[in-house]
Amino acid sequence: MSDDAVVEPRRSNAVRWTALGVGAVMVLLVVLLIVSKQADEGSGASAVVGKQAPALAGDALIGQPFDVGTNDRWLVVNFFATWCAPCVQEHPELRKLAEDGAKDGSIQVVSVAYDDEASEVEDFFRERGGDWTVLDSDDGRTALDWGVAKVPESFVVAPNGLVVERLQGGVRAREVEDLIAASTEQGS
Amino acid sequence: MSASPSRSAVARWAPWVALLLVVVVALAVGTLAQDDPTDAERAQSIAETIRCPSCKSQAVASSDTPSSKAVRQLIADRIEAGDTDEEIRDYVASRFPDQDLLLDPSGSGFSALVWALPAMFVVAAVAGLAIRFAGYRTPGLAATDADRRLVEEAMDDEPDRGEDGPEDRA
Repeated sequence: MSDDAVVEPRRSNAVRWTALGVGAVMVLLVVLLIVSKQADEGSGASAVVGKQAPALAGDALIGQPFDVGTNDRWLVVNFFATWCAPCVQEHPELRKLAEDGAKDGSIQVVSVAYDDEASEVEDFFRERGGDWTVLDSDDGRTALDWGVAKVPESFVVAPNGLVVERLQGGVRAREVEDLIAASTEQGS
Repeated sequence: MSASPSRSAVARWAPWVALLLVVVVALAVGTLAQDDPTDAERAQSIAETIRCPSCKSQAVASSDTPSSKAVRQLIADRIEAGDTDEEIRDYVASRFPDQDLLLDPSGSGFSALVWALPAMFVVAAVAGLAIRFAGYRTPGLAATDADRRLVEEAMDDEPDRGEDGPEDRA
């Protein structure tokens, strides 16, 4: 009778604990991966905010060549493209900002055309108005230096050349004016 | 005629030494015999390790978005300026701190686990197998004279036991 008894293979505790350990490490890694990825994506960190603004080295498509730190006004650097619908939507807001800023000489708007043709940019401004300086993106180099991968995106630069704020998506003139007013108050 | 102990040891280890030699020579040829890559090859190789800033998971090498084109142009410019591959990759990554652009994980911090864990698992697995197989080695099982006597006695007893077996009793 005992000869016919099925002998169960003996599973050692070491194997069981090793399997549990490997499983626990795997679960921990997956959790860490998810948490760190979410933290990165949700940070909205910018390479330029709080630092001196990178150069605007592109050629002028409209207006005169321009670079940061050449006058004592607040600067709104706007990256846009004529083929981008949100850029078309924000254009009236930029016009208002440029017109209001020109009245008291406090704010200047400069646009950088992102992956666009000079003729398209000229047509865009002729149809929709606006007479501020528009630069090309220097083969995308300017956009990279500012950390721009999608348009529209804008930056508020203080008269001393420090980038104060990054605005992803379309801007609102009132929002930018309030931001500049608050920053001016803080600085004075 | 039995081989001497030293000759049998040589015969046992010779295939392993030959295998090791082949692996070492193959690795040496594979790593040392490569020509220096051209600038274009370097640019392509770097572009394959950087994710397109405006895409989900495509490398800039295979993406036609404006941001990828800009990164490819930047890589070419920086190679021409004499930057190393690592400097170029680090610069691009530094432009987008809210994104994880490097497809090839770095060798420091949490990402280092990606490189370290597989190696640790391989070492642990090989060690585990070695320990397990060592346990399978049984000490010399050659039959002794006493064993042979036992077997002979058992064989001699077999016919008698057959006559008293259950079939006969039935």
